[in-house]
Amino acid sequence: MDEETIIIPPEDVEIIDASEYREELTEHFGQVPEVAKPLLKGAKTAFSKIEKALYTAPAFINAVKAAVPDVTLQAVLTDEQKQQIAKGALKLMTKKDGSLMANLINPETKKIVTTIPLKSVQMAPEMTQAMTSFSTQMQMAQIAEEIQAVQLAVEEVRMGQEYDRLATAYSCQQKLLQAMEIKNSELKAMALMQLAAAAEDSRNLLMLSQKSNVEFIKEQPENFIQKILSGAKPEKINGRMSEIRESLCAVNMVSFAEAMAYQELGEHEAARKSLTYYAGFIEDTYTSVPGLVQRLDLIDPAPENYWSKTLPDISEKIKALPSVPDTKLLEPKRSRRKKK
Amino acid sequence: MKKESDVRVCKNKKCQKVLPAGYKHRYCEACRNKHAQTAKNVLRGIGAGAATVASVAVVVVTGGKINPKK
Repeated sequence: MDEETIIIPPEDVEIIDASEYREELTEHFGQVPEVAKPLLKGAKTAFSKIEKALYTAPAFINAVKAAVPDVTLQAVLTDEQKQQIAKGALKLMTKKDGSLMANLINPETKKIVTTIPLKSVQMAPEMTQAMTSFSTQMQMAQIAEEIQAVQLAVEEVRMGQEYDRLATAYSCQQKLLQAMEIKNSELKAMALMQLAAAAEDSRNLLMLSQKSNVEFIKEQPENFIQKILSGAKPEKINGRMSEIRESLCAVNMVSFAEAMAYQELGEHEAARKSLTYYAGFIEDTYTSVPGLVQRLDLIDPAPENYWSKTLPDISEKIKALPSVPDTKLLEPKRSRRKKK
Repeated sequence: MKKESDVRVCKNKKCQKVLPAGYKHRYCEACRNKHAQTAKNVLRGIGAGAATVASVAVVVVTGGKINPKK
């Protein structure tokens, strides 16, 4: 049996310029008339269906071939007969037109020595095997689709949790605005205390989710080959960056809502402490990690270098807040005790 | 004059983000992520097409002669 090897000479190798390729079909068509736009929308779905059909093609072809019976006859020669044919002592009988017959003849005497028994061989692949491989392939495709659906569902749950945290933060802002309008001083103090507690809970939840998103960004490979092999899709990375931005805005807002609540209650030290905690979070998560802020600027699709401008600014402004002497309230009590 | 030319920007005309000093690449990381995704899709398409053509060719050429039971 001859081995058929496909040899491609180097001059026939075409180097593909990947810059011409686009992921989105719409990027290939600049101006499309209104009539053709529904066709463009359906085209992407059609192409993905074609791709899936191509994957199942080999098993399908095998199954179709198994359905069509294909039988051939094979000559059965003993080892001795094969040796004699190889030596030239015997040869296959031929007709005048050159076609072979199932007889062995002596080339010298031209007399028939023996007849060759024939065996029927089934050429078509086994039906059960072919159907099994086809059904296995279809099942694998279904399993892959199910896994994708589960991944989407998990992502939706994660986004739902993020929205819950953001909703709690924005509700703290509204609670502050409403509490400032309360006339009764006792009720106002109670509302502000509850607000401060809720704000602290909310921002800690946001801080933790922000840290996990920052970890995701940090884990993305920087090398181009590693990005191809194990990097996340740009849409996912951009989604996480948007979440970090929105979460940082919410933490900023909630921190100041809490500080203003304490200020309104006359608790300046508590206000400063809550802001210092926020500054510590910024430093711990962003500014103390070498190169992270620059990397966030480079990864963020927005061109304005938001991170390197905003983050150090927040930290510096909090540190620049005036400090309040902390022993004022305690001193009069101590002096009273000493006098006694 | 030299200081102005030292400020590097991303080579993508639609991006033009300022690149920090010491950054090795010509494109920002956001643009490089897009290029990596495009390359991944191209390789995936070529690989899937080649694998399909090769397996169809094997099935047609062998015609199911290869029987694991024998």
